[in-house]
Amino acid sequence: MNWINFPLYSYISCSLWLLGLILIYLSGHKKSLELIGGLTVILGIVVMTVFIIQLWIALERPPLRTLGETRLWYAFFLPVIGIVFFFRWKYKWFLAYSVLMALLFLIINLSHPEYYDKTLMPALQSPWFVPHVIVYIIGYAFLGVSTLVAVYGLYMHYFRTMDSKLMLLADNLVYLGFGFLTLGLLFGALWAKQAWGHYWTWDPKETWAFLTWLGYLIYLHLRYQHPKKVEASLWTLSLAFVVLIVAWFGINILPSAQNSVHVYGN
Amino acid sequence: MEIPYRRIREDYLSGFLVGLIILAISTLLEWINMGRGIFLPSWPLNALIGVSFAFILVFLHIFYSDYDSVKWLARVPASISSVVLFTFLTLILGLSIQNDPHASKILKITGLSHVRTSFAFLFSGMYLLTTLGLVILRRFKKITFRNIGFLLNHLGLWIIIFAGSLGAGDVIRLNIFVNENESSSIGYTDNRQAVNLPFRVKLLDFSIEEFNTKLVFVNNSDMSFAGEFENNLIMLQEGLEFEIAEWEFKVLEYLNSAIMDSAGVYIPSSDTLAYPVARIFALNRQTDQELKGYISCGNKIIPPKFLKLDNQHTLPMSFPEPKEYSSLLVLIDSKARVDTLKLIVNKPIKIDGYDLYQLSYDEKMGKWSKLSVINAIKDPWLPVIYIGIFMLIAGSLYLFTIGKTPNEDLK
Repeated sequence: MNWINFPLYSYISCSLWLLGLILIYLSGHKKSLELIGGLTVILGIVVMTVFIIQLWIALERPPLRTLGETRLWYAFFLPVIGIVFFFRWKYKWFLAYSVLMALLFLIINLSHPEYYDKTLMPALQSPWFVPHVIVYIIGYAFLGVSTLVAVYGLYMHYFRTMDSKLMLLADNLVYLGFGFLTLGLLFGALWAKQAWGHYWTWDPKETWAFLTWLGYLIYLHLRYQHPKKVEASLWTLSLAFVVLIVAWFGINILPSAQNSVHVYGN
Repeated sequence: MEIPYRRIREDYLSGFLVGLIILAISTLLEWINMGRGIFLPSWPLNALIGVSFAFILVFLHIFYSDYDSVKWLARVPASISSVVLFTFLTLILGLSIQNDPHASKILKITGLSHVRTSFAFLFSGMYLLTTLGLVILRRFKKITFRNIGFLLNHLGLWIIIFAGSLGAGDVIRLNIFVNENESSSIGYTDNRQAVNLPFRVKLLDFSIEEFNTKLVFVNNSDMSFAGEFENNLIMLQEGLEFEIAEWEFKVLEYLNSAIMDSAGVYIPSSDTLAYPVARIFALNRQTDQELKGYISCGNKIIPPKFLKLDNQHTLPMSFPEPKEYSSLLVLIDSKARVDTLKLIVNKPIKIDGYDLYQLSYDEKMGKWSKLSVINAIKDPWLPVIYIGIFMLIAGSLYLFTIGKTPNEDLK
């Protein structure tokens, strides 16, 4: 048994996203073909939305608890961000990247299917649960892309000529990602006050989320002060993502995380 | 204006030196203090320290802003060095086990075993508040959209760190242990010190609602999860049909709370010894072998009941997990006002300046617990923290507006 027809929905969404992407890349300067491509991607997102709603109803709780469930949300939000950026700024490569990342998340879920696990511990049953996790997922999605830009930027800096416009893109992504990261951290604090009585307890997950936040904070200030010194900024941006990954996954294996309230695995 | 490279280098070098000096002095103080950690001042001393600190910052800004050192503190290199130092200490905090009573002497004396209450963390926080504070004061001159966004983010953060650290000494956190039909007006600190509360709580009823238990598909050899799925747990429900590996299953009957009668049949019961039971039908598609039987997780007294499928696989049942636990309380406040309320997780109740939280129960008794553990928390600085948090929330919305449209070339 798998999540309600998950493979079927995934195959339909993946096909529509790939088809849309191909149409957009083949469109050349034909606006109509580009529009059809964009709408095909949106249709794929709608199919994924229908699946998530169905899963939510079947689980009788927000599907945001397990890693598989968060991967599902990435598979949903990445194409959403990709298509918004495409219609707003016409970034084809960004749409391609977000669609391919979404496919990767879906493939991981297809190869590691999860059963319905309807249980949700009482502390997680809160109106803050959904906004807290969703803004983090969106923030991580933006910052993930900014890392890609950073790695590409470092390559350009050392082996080719660096275009300052690339840094502008990295900045825009970090502004958005950092904004969402801040919201996630603060929503978490407000929720913690309601669930555990204190807004900040230096729980290992909180500590690492805060470290992530500090990493991007350093990046923003380096950029503000030294817009032309890209090397330090690019390295900071890449390293900040390493901290983000520790905050996201590493928390289950760190010695300091033995008593974390954020370890919910089975 | 282009800043000369030499000054940038000097600015960062100064930041690095300040960081080193802070770490050296802190380690020395920690050594003198025998690693006991700093003491958290409480009202009114903390307010006095806070007002003095803020006053010194304003004083420096008004009268000494022409001094090189004050100018340096209000520049980005100082901000970055203070954030880096704070990040470094937080990193130690995030990597090591903190407040471990068995930590070695060297860790205690250097403050590494208690970073949060170490001198280094205190001074690093003060350094951060100083650079941040002076930057804020410098930007207070003009009210523009950009400056408002800047102030929301920076002042919001300043307020959170300032009020959060100063207010820590005023936080009261007590556990109230109360049994059904009894009352209590005593709270206990984590060190088991009794504190009289201005209010009284009486527990009328403690109740736990549980999720249905789950079926687990395991290997006979070592009782590990079997099947190809990483999350092999199915919540039982009457009539549910599912497949695992070559097996097809159907849940014929599910009883959340049952006992076995004298005829050997399970019947629903609200007895304290009752336990969850399910009757399962299993069919092996390869061998056409059919099985029917009961599974149960049992309880402290009754052993669990498994359904052995074949030589390889067995079906046990998981223990029940709580869905919601709550205490029906009669609360009598300091003015003798009486109220009857239900306290549940995530929904605190306010009384006499305290917030009450449903914390725990007698976990050995599970849903038959007659004991409720309630957390009573008082944090007088919370409204100030909330001002900071909401400023920062508004500030992060401002961040969404400052991105510039990238050039066409990147498409």
